[in-house]
Amino acid sequence: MIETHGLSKEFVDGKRGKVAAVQSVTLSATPGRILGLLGRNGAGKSTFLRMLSTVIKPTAGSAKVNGFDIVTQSEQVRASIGFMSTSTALYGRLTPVEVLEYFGALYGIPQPELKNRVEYVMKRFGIESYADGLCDKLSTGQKQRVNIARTILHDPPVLFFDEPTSGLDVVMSQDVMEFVEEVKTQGKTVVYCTHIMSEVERLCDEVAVIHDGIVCDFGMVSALKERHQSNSLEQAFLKIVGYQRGVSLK
Amino acid sequence: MNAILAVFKKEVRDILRDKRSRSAMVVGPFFSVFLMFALFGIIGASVKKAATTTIHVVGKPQGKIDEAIVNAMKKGEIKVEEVATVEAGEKLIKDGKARLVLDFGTGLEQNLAAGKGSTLKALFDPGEQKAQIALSVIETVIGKVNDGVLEQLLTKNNLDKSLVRPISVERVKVKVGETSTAEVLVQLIPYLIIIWAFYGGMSIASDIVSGEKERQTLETLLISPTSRLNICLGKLLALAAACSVATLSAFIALIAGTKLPLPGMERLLEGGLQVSATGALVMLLVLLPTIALFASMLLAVSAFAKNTREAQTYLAQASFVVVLPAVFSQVIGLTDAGSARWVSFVPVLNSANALRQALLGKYDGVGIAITIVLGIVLSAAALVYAIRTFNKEEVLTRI
Repeated sequence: MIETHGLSKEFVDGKRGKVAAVQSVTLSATPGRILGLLGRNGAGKSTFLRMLSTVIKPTAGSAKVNGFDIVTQSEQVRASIGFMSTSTALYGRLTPVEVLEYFGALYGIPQPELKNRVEYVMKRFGIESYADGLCDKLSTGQKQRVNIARTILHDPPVLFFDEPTSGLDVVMSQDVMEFVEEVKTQGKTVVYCTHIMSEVERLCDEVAVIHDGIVCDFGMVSALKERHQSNSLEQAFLKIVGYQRGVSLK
Repeated sequence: MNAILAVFKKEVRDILRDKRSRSAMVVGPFFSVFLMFALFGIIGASVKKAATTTIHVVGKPQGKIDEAIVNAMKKGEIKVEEVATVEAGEKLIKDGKARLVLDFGTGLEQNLAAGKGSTLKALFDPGEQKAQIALSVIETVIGKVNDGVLEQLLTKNNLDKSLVRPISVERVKVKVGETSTAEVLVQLIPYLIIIWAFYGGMSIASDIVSGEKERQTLETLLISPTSRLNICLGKLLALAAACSVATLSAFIALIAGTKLPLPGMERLLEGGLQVSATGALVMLLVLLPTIALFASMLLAVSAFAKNTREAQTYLAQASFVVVLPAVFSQVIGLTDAGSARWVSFVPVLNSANALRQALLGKYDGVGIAITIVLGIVLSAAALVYAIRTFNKEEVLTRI
């Protein structure tokens, strides 16, 4: 379960002064459902996820992840989440097993259990055949599988996906989406951040459209299309963010 | 504690699998120290060789005094070659074929018999260092011949021949420290240990935090429930281990250099390397906070830098803070500063000086205590700065 109330984040930039990256976002995500965050590049989606994963602190508002406050109970929040993005790299000079064991230790999984969990995730994602090769030598698909295994190693109840298919080919993207669908059926709370409409339509139960750090609209995909009298989510999205043909958005 | 250990183990594994890091920690210190030793030996041997210099003499010796001078030169391992005229000698010098040409002139014997002094002419190129060495050698030889002539005159006049040098100095060596170590080692060891304690960790430092930012592994690490303090401490321990291994490699190379039959080593290492148990303990006590200071400094720079390139730029600048006092430590024994109290308050220099004194078996308790306490305080300050930097959002957002 995730609940945010007026969550905001301002950065101070030397040239631009105060920049509001996220402004007063109030949202909730429930177990067994996928909340989609849809927005252009730089809309504030990643900043929102970074606040929820406690690596940056909000300048206003509050949020609870799995019942824990993101500011006062940050360690418990981090223990409850799994975070995955395509930009997240692996340690090139470690093997997949070593990466998994490392993160297992950081997540405080005790040794006999850790061994079982590592074996389970390796089998689940077919990592065994290249488990002892260095991550630097793996293909993009193999790396992505190790990344997914790392994300769910500690079996977190909440999962964040930040543009997880960006830069992946069709087959690999399919793999990732199937995994997201699977964790949904396991009753986990999922926040899925993307700018790819087809992924949102396929995966998300609710969608929040973020533009310039503000949630411009929120609802089920069908509701958004209906509300903005659009045949597709893409059309609805463009209307929400105020796109006009020939006029650039700021 | 488990998390600190996990980070430490991961970093050590990462370091050991990186050729660049292995080179900076083991290969670099070992070979640079070993080569430095070999070079010192070769230079020492060639200086000795330079002592067996060739001196040209104009014409054949014409009297007893001339012969005495030539014989004294030959005894002093000087090769004597004859040149026909002064002009021919000058030409040899201009052509670079002679270092020094000695012209006895005429009347040396007669002047002496008449109770008069005489002057020899030594022709040389003042811009040539080897000629300067030859000149000082020949002046020593002439000095000895003068002494012999004076002794004869004194004996002839029934005077004590010791009056040739009415006042002389007897060298009495007083043992100050509990050990005696070769001078060259006393100068080199502190310098090499300090330099490599820093450089051993330097190449790893640019990778340890800023490298994680660049490769985008830091965010995943920070999203784990482990506290940033634990992550920092794990990385600090790995850096300290790298600094220690580099120091050890330099030390092993140093010992290998003293044991192997390299040219010129025998003369260079007269006195050998002798460190007492107390000396070794003092060295260890001084080195630990020094390594902790370097590791904390390196971690702070790496946490602050946006990427490895920026980290390398800052580290290159920071290295001057270490190199300058370390270089000064090589000559500190030649100055009064070697025993001055203020040296104990200068970071790095104080450690090098304490190491130097420990090698000599001299222990300045107050100085050692100040060095250790200052090292601990400064490393704690650098660590606090590193942890603060690591706790800031900018560690992720400043990219």
